[in-house]
Amino acid sequence: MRHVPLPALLLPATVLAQVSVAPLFPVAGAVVELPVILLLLLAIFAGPLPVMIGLPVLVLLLGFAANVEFEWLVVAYLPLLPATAWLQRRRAIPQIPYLLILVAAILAGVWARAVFAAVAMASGASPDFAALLTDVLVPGVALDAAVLSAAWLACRSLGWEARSLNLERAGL
Amino acid sequence: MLLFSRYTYWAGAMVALALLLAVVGRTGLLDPAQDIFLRAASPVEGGLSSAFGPVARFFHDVRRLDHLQEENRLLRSENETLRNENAALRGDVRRLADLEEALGIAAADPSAERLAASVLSRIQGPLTRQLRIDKGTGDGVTVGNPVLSVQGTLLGTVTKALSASSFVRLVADSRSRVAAQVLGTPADGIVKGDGRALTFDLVEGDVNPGDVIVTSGLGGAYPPDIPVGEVTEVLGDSQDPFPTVRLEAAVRISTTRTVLVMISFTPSRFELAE
Repeated sequence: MRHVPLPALLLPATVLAQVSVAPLFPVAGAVVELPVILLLLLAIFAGPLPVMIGLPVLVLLLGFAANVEFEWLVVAYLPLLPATAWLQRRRAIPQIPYLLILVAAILAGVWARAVFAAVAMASGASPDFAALLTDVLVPGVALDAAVLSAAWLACRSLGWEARSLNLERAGL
Repeated sequence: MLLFSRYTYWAGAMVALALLLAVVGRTGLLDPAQDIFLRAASPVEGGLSSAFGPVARFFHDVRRLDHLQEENRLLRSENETLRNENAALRGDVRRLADLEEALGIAAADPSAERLAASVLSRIQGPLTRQLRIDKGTGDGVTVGNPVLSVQGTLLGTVTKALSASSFVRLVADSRSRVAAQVLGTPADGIVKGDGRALTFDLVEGDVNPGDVIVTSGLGGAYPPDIPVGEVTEVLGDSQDPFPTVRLEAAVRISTTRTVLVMISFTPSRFELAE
C-alpha cells in the first residue's frame, strides 16, 4: 500500500464496482457503500494522504458514473477522514484498529446515505423516514460492516499494518 | 487542535472544489469528460455485470424459491388466460384493420419510433434507481424520452443524454411521478416509486387488485396507454377515499438487458415526472 499505483487502480475499480456490482446484491432497499469502505481502508492501511488526494478523484469518477451531483458526493464523503482521525485521536473508542474503522464505517455509512436520501427528498421523493431507517440505513450499515470485515481480514492476511491518521505523524 | 486545523485546510479546499464542480457541472462543460470516461468504462462495467450477474441471480432465486414456485404456478395459469385473450384480440385487430381500410384511416407504426438499447449498468442509491443505456444523443436520444421494456412496459425516462450513453430514471425511483389511470375505467392518479416498489395514489375512481395501470398522458410527460404495472394490493377500508394501492411492475429491472427508447416522443413543457 506504500506505492501510489494501487490506490490509483482501486479508485476507478471501486467506482465501477459501485455502479455495476453493488446493485446486484441489494438488501432491502440498500446497497453496499464501497467508496466508504475503500476510503476507510486506504486511511487505516496507507495513511491519510492517499485519501486526501484520492477523494476528489473518487468524487469526479463517481459523479460521472452514477450521474450524481459532485457537491453532494463531497458532502457525503468529506467528513469520513476527519471523523475517523478524531475518533482515533480522542480515544473515543478502544484503540483496536478494526473496531475503529468499524465504528467509522457505521457513522460514515449512515451519514452518506442520509445525505443521498436528503438530496432525493429535496428532488421530490416522499419523506418517509421510517422506511429510510428500516429499508436503507439499517440494512446498508449491516452490509457495509460485513464487506468491511471481509476486506479487513484480506488486508491483514497480506500483512498490512494499521497506521495513525494524525497528519503530523504522517509527515504533513 | 493541530489535527483539526490541518484537516480544516484540506476540507476547505474540498468544499471549494465541490463548489467549482457544481458550477462547472451544471454548465455542461464536464459532459465531454464524462462521455469519455463512460465510453472507456463501459466494457469493464459490462464484464463485471456479466461476471457477477449469474451469482446475484442464484442468490436471489435461492432466497425466493417458495415465492418463485408459487409465481410459476400463477404465471402458467395467467399464460393460458392470456393466450385465449390474445387469440380473441387477433380477431379484433383483423376486424379493426378492415374497418380502417374501409374508412381510409392510416395507422402509424409505433414500433418505428422505438430504439433498442442495451443496459450498461443499474445504479441504485438510497431511494433512487437509475439505468445507464448504450444509446445517446448520437442515436437520437434526448432528455425526456420514455423508456420501455421490450414487452412495452414503462420503465422510466431519460434524464441525461450524452453522445454515446444515457441515464434513465426508473419509475421505481422515489423522485419519479407518472400520471396514470386504471385501464378501461376513468379512475386516475399518480404512480410513485419509493426506491423499491410502486404505489398508485388514486385521485378519483375505484381500483381493485388485478387492475392494470397505464399511463394517462396527462401532463404530457408520457404518451397515453403505456402499461406501468398491475394492482396487487389495496390497503385501507372501503370508506377510505385515498387508499394505498401497491403495484407490481410487469418487468424485472434486475434481469432486464434490453430496453426500448421512444425517441420520437418529446415531453411537453409541463413535465409531471420532474
